[in-house]
Amino acid sequence: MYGGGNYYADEVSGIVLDIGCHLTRAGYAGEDTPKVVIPSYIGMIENPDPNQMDVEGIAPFAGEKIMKYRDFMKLEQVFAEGGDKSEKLEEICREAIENELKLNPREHPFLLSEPSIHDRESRVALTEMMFEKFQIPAFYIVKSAVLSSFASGRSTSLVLDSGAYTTWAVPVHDGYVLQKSIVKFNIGGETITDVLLNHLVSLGVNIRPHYTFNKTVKCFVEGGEVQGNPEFTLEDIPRPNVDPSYQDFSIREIVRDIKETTFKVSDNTFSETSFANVPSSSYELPDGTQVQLGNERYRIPELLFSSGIEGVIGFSGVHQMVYDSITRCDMDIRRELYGNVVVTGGNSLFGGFTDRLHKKLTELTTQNMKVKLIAPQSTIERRFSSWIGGSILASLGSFQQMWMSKQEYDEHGAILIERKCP
Amino acid sequence: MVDANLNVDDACVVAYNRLKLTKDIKFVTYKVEGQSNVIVERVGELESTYQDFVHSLPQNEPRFAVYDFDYTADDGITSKKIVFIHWSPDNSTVKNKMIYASSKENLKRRFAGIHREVQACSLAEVEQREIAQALR
Repeated sequence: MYGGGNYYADEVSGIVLDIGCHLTRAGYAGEDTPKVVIPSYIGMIENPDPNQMDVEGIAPFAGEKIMKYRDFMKLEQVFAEGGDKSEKLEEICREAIENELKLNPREHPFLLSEPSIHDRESRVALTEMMFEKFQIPAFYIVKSAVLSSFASGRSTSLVLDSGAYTTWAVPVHDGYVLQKSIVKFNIGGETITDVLLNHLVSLGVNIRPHYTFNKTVKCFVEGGEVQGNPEFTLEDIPRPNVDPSYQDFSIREIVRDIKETTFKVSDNTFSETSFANVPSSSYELPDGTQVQLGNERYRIPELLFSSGIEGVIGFSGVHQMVYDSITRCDMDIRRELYGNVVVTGGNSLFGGFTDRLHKKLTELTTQNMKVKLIAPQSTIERRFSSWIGGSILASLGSFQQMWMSKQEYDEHGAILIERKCP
Repeated sequence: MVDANLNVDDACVVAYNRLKLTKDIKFVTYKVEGQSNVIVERVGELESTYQDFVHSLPQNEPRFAVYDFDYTADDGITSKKIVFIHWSPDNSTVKNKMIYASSKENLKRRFAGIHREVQACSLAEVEQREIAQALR
């Protein structure tokens, strides 16, 4: 039995699930990294043609299955604006739990992370879904910023979490999120991907995703050594039935990789004149075409520290978000927050990001204010900090009494989550 | 509040009350044992210095501590104030960081009369003048 005063001996491992806008992470509590990391997208084929029925059956598709090309398959983000999220959410959970982790949800307690803005309605809905649709025996939910803060060893900190679609500045004090001081903008890694994609299109670069061609490599081998240069031949595969959403998804995968491998945040404010002579960097597209990137490698990520993002009103840099958030907090704790800025999220992984943030923040604050950034060196810790925090928490023997059990759910309903996980 | 729900040994509160009421000790450090119990690690004699206290903190592992701090206000009046210290050095393991951070409130709320709390993640943050600054 879980929770409800009954001690539960940790015979089965808890499962930790972190459903992000772009990626869903899932795995066993106590492990260092999530076993499963899949895109938070669902593939649908409306009115499938029975003559061309896929061997893997019909929609919906998720996980690995959306990576494969399928005629007419439309990809939808789980958290896309508008429409009914609950079905897609259930689908992505089912994929992660039953198909990828290959386990029976009835046998494991589940710890989920949730966005830091307290939203009673969606956490109640999530609780209901986990108990009703997956019949889980026990449940717990923690705000993502709290997990990141704790995993950095701090119960008080300002968590700057820059993800794929959103960036948050969240003050955590004594383990509680200060709701009124959260600053959130809908910008993130994908904003940068968008700008780069538009830039490449304007340069006339044709990005051909993997499913549009077959690539063969020919080379001569003599005595175990490759002789001469290998020869590549490309054979086009016509895909008249590709859905625009799938095409977009595949192109963005490539652009994202270009961004991750070539982009850097500059030490100082970007200007065309001072960056006129930066060496260009070349990137080889999957079809073998070379793309040359010059000072845009610095110019585009500079957007994260400026107010020039189209369509995002009021944003003037991630440093400003941190500053605004701390300024909304009580005077007494500002000093401590500035001294404990926890930087997390995949979008913070650009080289130079934390140095620049430190510089900009120091410029904004008064002279005697000490600004300290805490950013784990390892990519994994930075991308998965809340998952890792949840994994440790859910694996502790003493924590097993904290779960909201199925029995409690049956007695009190989903609303009890507000009391169990305040 | 997320709470790892560790068991707090009775001796933890006994030692705290000794510091607060009997006043025959200077500081107490607490550690988490076996990921399940918070226990008293060290009790600092009345004669011990602040440096003795700092030296008792491990370099790469978190600890909790209470310290009966001698505080001199701007007007020259001296008094004693009890400070709760969450020692969480940045080079400790993520696991230890998480365990201590998610147990702090549970321990602290058993100690009535804490004047200030200090979260220190490096030696610079646990320096005597930093504590004095926090008490200001």
